[in-house]
Order: sequence, then structure tokens, then C-alpha cells
Amino acid sequence: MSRYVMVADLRRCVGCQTCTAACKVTNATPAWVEWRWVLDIESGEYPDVWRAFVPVGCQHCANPPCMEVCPSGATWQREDGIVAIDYDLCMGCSYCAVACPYQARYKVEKPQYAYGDYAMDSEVARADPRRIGVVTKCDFCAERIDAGRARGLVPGVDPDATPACANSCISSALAFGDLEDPESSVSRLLAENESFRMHDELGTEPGFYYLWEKKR
Amino acid sequence: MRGVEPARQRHWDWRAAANFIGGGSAAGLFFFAAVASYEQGSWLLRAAPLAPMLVLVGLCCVASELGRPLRASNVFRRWRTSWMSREAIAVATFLPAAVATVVLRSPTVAWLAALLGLALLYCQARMLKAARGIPAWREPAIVPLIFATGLVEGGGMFVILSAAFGAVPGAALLALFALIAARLLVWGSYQARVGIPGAAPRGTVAILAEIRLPLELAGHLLPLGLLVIALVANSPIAASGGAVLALAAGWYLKLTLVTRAAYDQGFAIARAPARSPGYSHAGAKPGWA
Repeated sequence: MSRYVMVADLRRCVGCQTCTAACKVTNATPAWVEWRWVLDIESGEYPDVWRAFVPVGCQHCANPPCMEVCPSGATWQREDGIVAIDYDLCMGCSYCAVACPYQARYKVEKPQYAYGDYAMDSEVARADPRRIGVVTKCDFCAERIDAGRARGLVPGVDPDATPACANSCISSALAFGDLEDPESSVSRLLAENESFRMHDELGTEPGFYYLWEKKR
Repeated sequence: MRGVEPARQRHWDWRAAANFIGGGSAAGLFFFAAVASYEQGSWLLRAAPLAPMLVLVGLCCVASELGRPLRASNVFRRWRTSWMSREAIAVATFLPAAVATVVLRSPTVAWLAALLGLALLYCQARMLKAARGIPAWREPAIVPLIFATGLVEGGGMFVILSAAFGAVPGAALLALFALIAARLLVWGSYQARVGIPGAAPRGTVAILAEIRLPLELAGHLLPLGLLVIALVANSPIAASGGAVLALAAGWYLKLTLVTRAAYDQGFAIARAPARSPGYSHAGAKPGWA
């Protein structure tokens, strides 16, 4: 059994938002909808201040509050841990959106374009009417993973079986893979480094780990 | 670029609040009417049609928020885990039971409908608690708060109707008095728990602090005083005044909780990264006390 997770090395992320752009291009999300994006957090007091870039999005929790509350059964969890949405079942009640502590869910009532009322050819060509009026979110590029695996490729190793955000990361800050495989890159990274999961105290058991220091 | 700090949720607006208001008030009203029906059956028949109407108004409001309203029947599918599904089942059983009460004029059916109404009210309270993304809602004290305020709203409506159509039963005034006092206690407990550092974002705490004085004075202490006057002086005007204030306070509280006080979780990191050369820092949780 696989458990796919994402590992973000906060020491490496430079906040370039290339993952954000790659996700938008791959998944054709409407304007203002970003399934993957990078936070810019500043903290501390002068002169001891610091800044961190933190990739966020759906955390593919093992105990997803969105799935628990979803009344229609549209939100479901695959055996490999990926939390997915059946856009043909969702009725757009947004209960999942208020249950998600990661602000990872979006509902778009009508087509949204980058330049307001003007739709670029690419936006028209790739618009998906199934995603209007329903809640959408990151699915770790599940179709890409499935297609890659069907060809014998390994998610997290072969780009054609790996989420677009991880593929595009210019600093190798994002790593994707199977947590159940001790030889996977994510397992090795977690074994060698200190890590945390965001809002872990809420009992969501996120499938998204953040590295902050080498283990001593 | 979106912010890091908790922001007010924009997924549910006043229409969702209207559903909580309609369902809660209807459940409370029907419960009071069913209890009173043993002494004065006519009250039951006056209140019985109003309760399902309140539920329907709330449903219409919340249905207008659905992105795909034609799929509304899917709401029943996840009853094993979703309190929204369970609320829908409670509504779907309460409505026909309330109508049957009007048609059959049976106290037994009235009690069944009243219990289903209470189940509806409980489901609504649990719906909010299950929303783990909103700290003001996931606080466990939200359950007794929503339940108590639904009963107060219903009791307030019952007293207003009673005063409009005849005498107000003294037992109803006493019950409303006790419920308002109970809501005041539960509200105090809820606010204290949300106010604990780290329990809720600063925005939520600020909004709750802002409404505290008017809610406690005009929504609780003044109604309690008016109900005492109504009991002592047998004054229907004082009874109605107290009931109106208690009802309005419940609606105002729910509207505030669902909209203005509902800040999301925001983002946080447990540790800041160690860049080389450098060292790691304590984490950050912007927007929290």
C-alpha cells in the first residue's frame, strides 16, 4: 500500500512561485484559483528577523475534515491517501471549505479570466464546465500519477508520474513520493531532517511535511 | 498574493446564518408549543404552521448558496459522518411531522415532531463544531450555545404569539427566564474559552468582545428583568418586550458567529528554517494572540 506525500524543504524554497505557475498551467485553474501557492512569512523583531517561504495547498490529510463533513460523498480518499473530489457529485455547499484548516478549497460560481471579461484563447480552450459551481482543490495531479504508474513509472522519481509542482521546483524544495517506501526520496528526507506538519494539533494528520533543519 | 493571517471566511454568508436562525427558532417554538398543548391545545395549532415555515425560509436561503442546487438531493448521501446530511434528514422528517400535527391535532404526533425539531437543532450545533477550519465554530462550547439559543428563540416566539393571541402562560415565562439565564451562562463559558490565548484568531476574539456588552445587557439582563416584571405584574407588554429582545439577541448572535466572527485558521509554521549559514528560529502563527 502506498501513501503519497509531499515534502517541502523550507531551507531551499525561494518563493519564486514556479510551482504555483506550473500547477495553474497543468490544471487550468481559473484566475485567482491557486491549488498550490507559496506563502511569504516574515517574523521576529529587529535585528533578529527572519523570512520563510512556505508552499501550501491541500495537505491530503490522513484524517481529512473536509471528507468527514462532505454531505454528498463528493470528497473521498483514495487508497494511496490522495483526497479527491468527484465533481459530478458535489453540490457546491462549501461545507468542506469551512472545514479545511488550510484554505485549500475554492468554489467558482462563473468562469473567471485573468483579464476580467476578456478570455484568452487558452482559457476558453481549457475551461472545464464541470468545475463551475462546485468546490475544487489540488489532487496531487492524480491523473498524471495514475497514468505514469500504468506505464510502470515511479511517482516522485519519474516526472511523468509526479505532480507538476514538484517537477517544476527550481530549487528541489518540493519532493513527492511514497511514505511507505523506505527508499523513496520523501522517506529519506524525513529520516535525515527535522520536520513538522502544519496545524498537526487539529488531528488532521497532513500528508505534507515541512523540513526546517538537518537532524543532529 | 493571499495573506498569512486568519481571514474572515467568505464561503458562508448571511444565507447560511438564516438557515441556523430558521431551524433553531422553529425547533424551539415547536417544543414550547408541544409542551403547552397539554394545557392549551390551541397554541399548538397556532405555532405548528409557523415552525415549518421558518425552516423552509432558512432552507430557501441556504439553497440559494448552493453552486449546483439541482444536486441538492445528494445532501443525504453521507449521513454516516456528515452533520449536514443528518440535519437534512432531521428536516425531512420534522417537516411532515409538523404538518401531520396540524392535520391530526394529535399530542403524540406533536411530541414526535418536537423531538425531531430538537434533533434538527442539535445537528445544526454539531455542524458548526465539525467545521475544523473555523476556530470560533470548532470550540466545543458552541454546541450548548447554539442549542440554548435555539430554545430561547423558540420560547421568545411562543411568548410573543401568546401575548398577541391571549394570555401568556406563566410556566412559559418561567421556562423562558430559565433558558435566557442558561444561555447567558453558556455564552460566558464560550467566550471565556475562545478568549484563551491560542484558542482563536485575534479577529474572532475582537468581534466577540465587541458584541459582548450589547448582547449581555440588551439580550439577556434586560429581558430577564422584563420577564420578572411580567411575572410579578402580569404584564403582557413586559413579557413581549423581554421575548422580543431575547429572540433578537439569538438571531444577532448566530448572524455574528456565522459571518463576522468566523475567521479561518490562517497559516503557521512550527519552526523557521535554518539557512546556511544560520540557525533555525521558533515558528510563527501570525494573527493569533
